[in-house]
Amino acid sequence: MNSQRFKADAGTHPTSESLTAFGLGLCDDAESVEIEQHVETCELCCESLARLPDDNLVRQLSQPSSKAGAEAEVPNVSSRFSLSPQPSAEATSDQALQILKVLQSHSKYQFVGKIGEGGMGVVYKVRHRLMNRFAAIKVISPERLPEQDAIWRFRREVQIAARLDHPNIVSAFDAEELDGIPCLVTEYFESASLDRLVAQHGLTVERACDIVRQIAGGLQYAHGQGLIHRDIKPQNILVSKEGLVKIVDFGLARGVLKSTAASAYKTSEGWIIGTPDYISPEQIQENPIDARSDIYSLGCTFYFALAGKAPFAESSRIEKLGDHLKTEPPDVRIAREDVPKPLAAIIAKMMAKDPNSRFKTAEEVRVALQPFCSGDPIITPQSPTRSPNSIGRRKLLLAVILSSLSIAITLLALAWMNHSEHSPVVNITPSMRERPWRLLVIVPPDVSMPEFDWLHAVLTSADLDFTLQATSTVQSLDYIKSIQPLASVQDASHDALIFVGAEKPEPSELSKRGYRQEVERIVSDFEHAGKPIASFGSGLWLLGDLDMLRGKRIADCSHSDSHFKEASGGRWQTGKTLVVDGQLVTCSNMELGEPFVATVLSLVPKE
Amino acid sequence: MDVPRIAIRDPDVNSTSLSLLQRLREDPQAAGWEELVSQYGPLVRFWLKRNGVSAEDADDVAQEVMTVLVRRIAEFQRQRTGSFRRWMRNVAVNCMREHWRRNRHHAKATGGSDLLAIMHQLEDDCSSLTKHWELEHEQYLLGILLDRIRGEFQPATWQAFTLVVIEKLAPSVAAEKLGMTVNAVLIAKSRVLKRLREEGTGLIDA
Repeated sequence: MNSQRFKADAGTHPTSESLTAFGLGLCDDAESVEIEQHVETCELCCESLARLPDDNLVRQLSQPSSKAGAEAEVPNVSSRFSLSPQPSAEATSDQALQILKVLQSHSKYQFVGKIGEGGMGVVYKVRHRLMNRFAAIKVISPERLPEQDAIWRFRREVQIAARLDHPNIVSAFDAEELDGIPCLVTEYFESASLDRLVAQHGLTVERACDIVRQIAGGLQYAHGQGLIHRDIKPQNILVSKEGLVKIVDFGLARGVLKSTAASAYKTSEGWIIGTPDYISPEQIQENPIDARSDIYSLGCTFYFALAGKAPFAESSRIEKLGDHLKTEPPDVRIAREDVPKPLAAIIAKMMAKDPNSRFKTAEEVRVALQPFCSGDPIITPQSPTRSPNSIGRRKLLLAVILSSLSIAITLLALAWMNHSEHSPVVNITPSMRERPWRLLVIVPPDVSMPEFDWLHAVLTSADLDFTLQATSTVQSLDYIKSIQPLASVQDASHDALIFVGAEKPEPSELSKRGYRQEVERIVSDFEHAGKPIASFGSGLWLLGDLDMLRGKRIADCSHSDSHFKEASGGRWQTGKTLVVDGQLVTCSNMELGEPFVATVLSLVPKE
Repeated sequence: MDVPRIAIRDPDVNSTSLSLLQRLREDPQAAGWEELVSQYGPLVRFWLKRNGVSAEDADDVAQEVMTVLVRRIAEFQRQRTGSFRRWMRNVAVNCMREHWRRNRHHAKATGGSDLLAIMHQLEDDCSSLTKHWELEHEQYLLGILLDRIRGEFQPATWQAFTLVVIEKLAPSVAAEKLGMTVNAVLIAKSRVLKRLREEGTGLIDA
C-alpha cells in the first residue's frame, strides 16, 4: 500500500482498496491512524465501509461453530462473546435467553422445554394456557431474520401459511413477537425428523414410500393454495411414532426469511449443515419455480430415505450445485438393491433435470407410489385415487413380493448402513475430482475490490479445491496462488475464464492495444477449447467491450446504462441475474456467487 | 445528539507488539502456554466425542494431548517453520495412536476402530476430516485470541465490535444500540480486527 498511502489532511477520500483494508483491519499502524481520522467525519466512506463484504476472518467470527448446539461443551465464538452473561450451556444466544425469560411469565404460553435446534433457530415446547394445548415456538435466529422494515411481510406471509390446514402439514398458528423478538408459533407434533429416523433405524422400502406419499399429499394441498415450499429436505419432514408425516416450515420460503435461497447457503450456514443436497436446478439458477421444484427436492429426499445419503452426498458444496444442474443422479438401486425397478424409475423421474420431464403435480407422485405402500394409508387421500392399470399394478406387486424374499440380505445391509451412519468417517469420501479446478480470473488493473472479494470468498468458503490465477498484480491479495502475465496464459492449464469488473467501467483498460490483443487471444483460446467464459458483476463491461455479448442472452444489469446495453447487442434478460447462453455465463448479482461458480464449473468440458 | 467519542487509541499501537505465537516461542511461561494447553484439551475431547469416539477414550486422548503439549514445549520453540495448526494436529494424532496402541486389546469394538479411522484421516493433510478439524481449530483459536485481547479495549469499542462482527448487526443498528456514531462503530470494528490479526499472526489464516 506504499504507492498510494492515504493522508487524512489531503482533502481526498482513501482509495477503495485502502478503505477495504481499513475496514477489515488490514492496514498498517500509520495508515490506520490516518484513515481513522478521515472516517471519523466522512459519511461517504462510512457508507462504503458499512457495506463491505466479509472476508474469511470476519466470516469465521460470526459463524456458529459446527452443529454442536445443545451438547456443546466447547462454546463457539459467538456464544463466548455475546454481550450478556451465559448462565447455562443450553442458551446459545442472547435471544434464546431473553425468550426463556419472557416465557417464564407469559400470559399466553407456558414454557415446557426445549425441543431442538435447527438451521432456522431454536424450538421450544410451550403450552397454550388458554387452549390448554401444546405448541412449538420457533425463535428465528437473528441472521435469518428479514430486515427490520420487512418484519411485517414476515408476519403476513406466516399468516398466509397459517391458513394451510392439512394433516400432513405442521400448521403455523401465528407469527408472534415475544418481547420484540419475532417467533413462529406452530402446532406441536411429537415426532422425529426424517434424517434422524433414517440415520437411526433406516427405513424399509414400504415405509419410505408411505412417508413420501404422505409428503406428496401435503404438497399437493399446499400447491393448490398457491404455496411452494422451496426447502423440502429430510430435516423438514417430521414422522410420528404412529407413522403420521408432517412437513414443517411452510411459508418460510425464500422472500420471507433469508433462508432457502441458493445464496443463503453461502456463509452463515455451518460447515456440515446447510449443504445444498436437495435444491432444484431451477432454484440454483434463479429461474422461476413452481410446484415441480418441490417435486425435485422431494425426489432427492426420497433417495435419501432409501439410500441413507443424498444423491450427490460425496461432492463438495459447489460441486453439488453443479451436480444438480448437470450430473445424472445415481440409480437408487446401487445403494438399495431391494428397491423395485419401477420405483427407482419414479424416483429418477422426480429428480429429472428438466421440470417438464418430472411429474407435473404432487398428486401424480402420490398416485404413482400407491402400489408400493403397505396396507391402508394412514391418511385418507384428499382426492379420489385413480388406480393405475391393473397389469402394471400386478407387476409392481410381484416386484414387491420378490424383493421381500431378500429381506434377510436387506436387514444385513441395513445394519451395515446404520453402522456407517454412526461413524462419520466412513461417510467421508474424497472429492470425485482428481485435480483441483483451475480458474483464470482476468483482473483489470483497477479491479473492483468488492467484486473480487466476493468471488474469492465464495471460492474459499465452498470447500472447493481450486487454484486461482490472476492476470495482474492486485495489492494485498496474497491468496491468489499465482500471478500470470497475460502473455503467458495458456487455456490448456485452465478450466474456465472469469472476468471481474473494474472500478470504473470506462475508459477500459482494453483500450490499451497490447492488453486488448492478449485478452482477445486468451478469450479465443478458451472459446476454441469449448471452455466456459463468464463475467461476474461489472466484468460484463469488459465482455461488452470485447464484443462478446452480441446476440447472446445476458443477465440483466440495472446499473448498466441503456447506451451500453444497446451497443453491446446482447439480449438482456429482464429480471434475471444469472444467465447461461452456451458456454457464456453472466451474473449481475453478487449474492449469487455460489450458484454462479457452480454454473461455470458445470460447463467445464469433461477431460 | 451528544455522541460519546471513542478514545483515540485503545491498545498502544506504537509499541509494535509481538504476536501470540512469537511470544509463546520467546517465553512460553509468560505468554501463558499452559493456559493455552489447558484450553486446548476440551476442544480435542469435544471433537473426538462428536466424531463417534467413546467419552472415555476421548477423555484419555485429550488428557494425553495436554500432557504432551506441556512436555513438548521445547520442540515447539525449536520449530520455527510450518504451521501451528499442523503441529497441533500432529500431536493429537500421535496421542491417538499411542492411546490406541496401548488399549487395542481391550478397546470397545466401535470406539477403537473409530479412533483408528479418525487417526488415519487426520494424518492425511487433504482429507475432509482434516479440513473440518482445522476449521474448528481455527474457530476455537479465534475464541481464545479474542479472550486475550479483550482487556486491551475500551468496553464501548469491544461492544461495537461484538455487535457488528460477531452478532452481525448492521453498523447503524449497533450504533443506535450503543449510542455511538456509525463512524465510531466502524472504527471500532477496524481496530479490533486489526489487533486480532496481529495477535493471531502465524496462528490463524487471516
